[in-house]
Amino acid sequence: MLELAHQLHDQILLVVATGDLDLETAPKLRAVIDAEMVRAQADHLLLDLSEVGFLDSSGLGAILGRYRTVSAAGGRMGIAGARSAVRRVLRLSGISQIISMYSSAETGLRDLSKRRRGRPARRARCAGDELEVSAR
Amino acid sequence: MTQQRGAPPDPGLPSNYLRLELPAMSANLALARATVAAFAAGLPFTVEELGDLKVAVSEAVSNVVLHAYPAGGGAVLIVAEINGLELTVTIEDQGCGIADIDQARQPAYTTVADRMGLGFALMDSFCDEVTVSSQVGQGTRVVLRKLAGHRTQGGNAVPYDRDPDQPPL
Repeated sequence: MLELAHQLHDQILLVVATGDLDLETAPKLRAVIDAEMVRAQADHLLLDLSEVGFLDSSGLGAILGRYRTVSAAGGRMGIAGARSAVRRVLRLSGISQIISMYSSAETGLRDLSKRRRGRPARRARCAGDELEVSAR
Repeated sequence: MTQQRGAPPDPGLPSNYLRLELPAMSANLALARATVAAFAAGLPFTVEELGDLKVAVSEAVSNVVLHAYPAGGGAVLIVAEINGLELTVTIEDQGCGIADIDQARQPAYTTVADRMGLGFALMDSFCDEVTVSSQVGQGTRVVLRKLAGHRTQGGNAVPYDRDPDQPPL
């Protein structure tokens, strides 16, 4: 089961996923994000995984595919709020080193909109945030 | 290999088993991994280790769904066994088989577009041992072995400890 909600924040599409991300549900993530990016004419993508309890390689494939699509169009992508089990899989795959990781959707939106306006990129790093934003 | 049911278990060790046969459909993935994790919760695995086990089972069953039966249909048989502190999960199909297992186990090897080929890499990372045997035209068997009550690669588990903040699975 996977539920997806989305909102546009000033060229950034925020997609909040709830449920499991696996072979069964990955096609839905792919289809909804691809359609919404076009419909909303969004440049950037922030995927909120705070309500996702399970992620495997099928989900990783869908996430990496969206990263490639968004990057190819010149946009940025971030992942927000990933829980520890999900973060383990993101880290093992190396995805957390190429996609910006944020502790929360708010932090991610703030950082992505700063970069969008051409200000100096600043890594999201807040107290208690053990997400792997910086290179290991 | 699954163990022979007829063999008497070590009298000092608890043993238990679960057999689950399902149509090889992606809709059954969540059921398969949740059932195996619930069974495995009989051992002193940490919540994190049970999460890792779910990923490994999901990868093995996903492989069956994706590759075993190109013509559709088919079943996956999942046998989970507890012997002492050891959990063994066998995921078996009677599908087309894998011609080159070494190649299939390579990270980033994939036969399907928009996939990462990370299935076996995640199984290897999240289990103590992964064994794959296959015969073309006969089927494939993946055996995942995971020991409870010790530290595994990438884990930070404390022996015999459960995270008190996490609900039981």
